[in-house]
Amino acid sequence: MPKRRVNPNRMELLKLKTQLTTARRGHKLLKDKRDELMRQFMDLVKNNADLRLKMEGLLKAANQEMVLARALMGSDVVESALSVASGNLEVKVGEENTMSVRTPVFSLRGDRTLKKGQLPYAMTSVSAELDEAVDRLAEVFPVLIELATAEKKAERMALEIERTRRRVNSLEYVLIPELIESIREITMKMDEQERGNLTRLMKVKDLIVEQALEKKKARAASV
Amino acid sequence: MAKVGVIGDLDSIIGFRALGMEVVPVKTGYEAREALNKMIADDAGVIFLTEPFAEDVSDIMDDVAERMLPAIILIPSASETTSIGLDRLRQSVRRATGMDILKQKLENRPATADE
Repeated sequence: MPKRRVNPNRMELLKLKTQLTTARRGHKLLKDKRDELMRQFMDLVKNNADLRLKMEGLLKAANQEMVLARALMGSDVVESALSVASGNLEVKVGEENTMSVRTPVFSLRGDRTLKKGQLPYAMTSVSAELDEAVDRLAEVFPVLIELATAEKKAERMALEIERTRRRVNSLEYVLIPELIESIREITMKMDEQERGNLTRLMKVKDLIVEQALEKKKARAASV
Repeated sequence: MAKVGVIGDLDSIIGFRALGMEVVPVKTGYEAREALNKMIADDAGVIFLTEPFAEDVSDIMDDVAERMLPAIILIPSASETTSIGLDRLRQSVRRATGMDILKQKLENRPATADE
C-alpha cells in the first residue's frame, strides 16, 4: 500500500489529524445510511415478491382466456379485432426520493384506463371469450403498474446500497488506516527530531559549562 | 406522462393492445433488442418484456437500471414457465444484503399449468 510522502512537520500533522476526524465522521454517517437503506430495501423486496406472484397468477388466468378466445375465433380474427385498438395509453410519472435515491412512481390516469366493459372493438364481431380475456388483462394492469414502480425502486436502491457499501469499506480499510499510519510516522519522526535537539542542547550546555570552568581555572591560576 | 410498451412473443402479448399499450411482437432475441432499443429511444416510461427474451437483452437492462426511466419489467410468457423475473429479484437482494430472504416465498409458489 503506497503511503503518502508528507513532510514530517507540525502543520502536516495537524492537517492529517483534521482529515482523520472528518473521515471517521463520514464513515459513521455512511454506515448509518447503508444500514437504513438495507432495512428499507428488505421491506420493499418482500412486497415486490408478493406483487410479482400476484401478477403472475392474474396474467396466467388472462392468458388462458386469450388462448381459449383464439382457439374459438381463430387467431387472425382476434388479431384483426385487436389491431384497431389505439396505442396511446399513458401513465403518470412522478418522482420519489428515498434517502437520496430518486425513483419514478407510475400511476394511472383515472379517465384513460380501460374500464370493465369498455372495449375498443365492435362487440358483435367477437366472442365472449375475447371480452373475458381483455377484462382479465384490465384487471392485471394496475398490478403491473404497481410492480413497475416497486421493481424499479428496488433496482435503484440495490445500486445505491452497493455504492454506499463500497464507500464505507474504502474508508474503513484504506483511507482511515493510511491516515493513522501517516500520523504515527510523523509523530515518531518529530519525536526523533526532538530527541536529537535535546541531545544537541545537552552537548552545547556541557560545552558552555566546560568553557566556564576553564575560564574559572585560568583566572584562579593567574591570581 | 409516458408511454407503456410490451415486447414478446405474439401469443403472450396480443391482448395488451386492447389496453392501449404499444405492443411489439418479436420472434428472435435480435428483434427483441431492436424493439427494446427503439422503445427506449422513444422515451417509453414502462416496458414489459416476456421472460424468455430476458437473457438476450440483459446488458440493456443493466444499463437502464442506472437511469430513472424506463422501467423494464419481466412478465411471464404464455408458453414457457420460467421464473427469471423472481430470480433477478433474488439476485439483486443477494448482492445487496448477502442473504437470500426470498427463498421461502419461492418454495410456496403455486404450481403452473405445465408443472
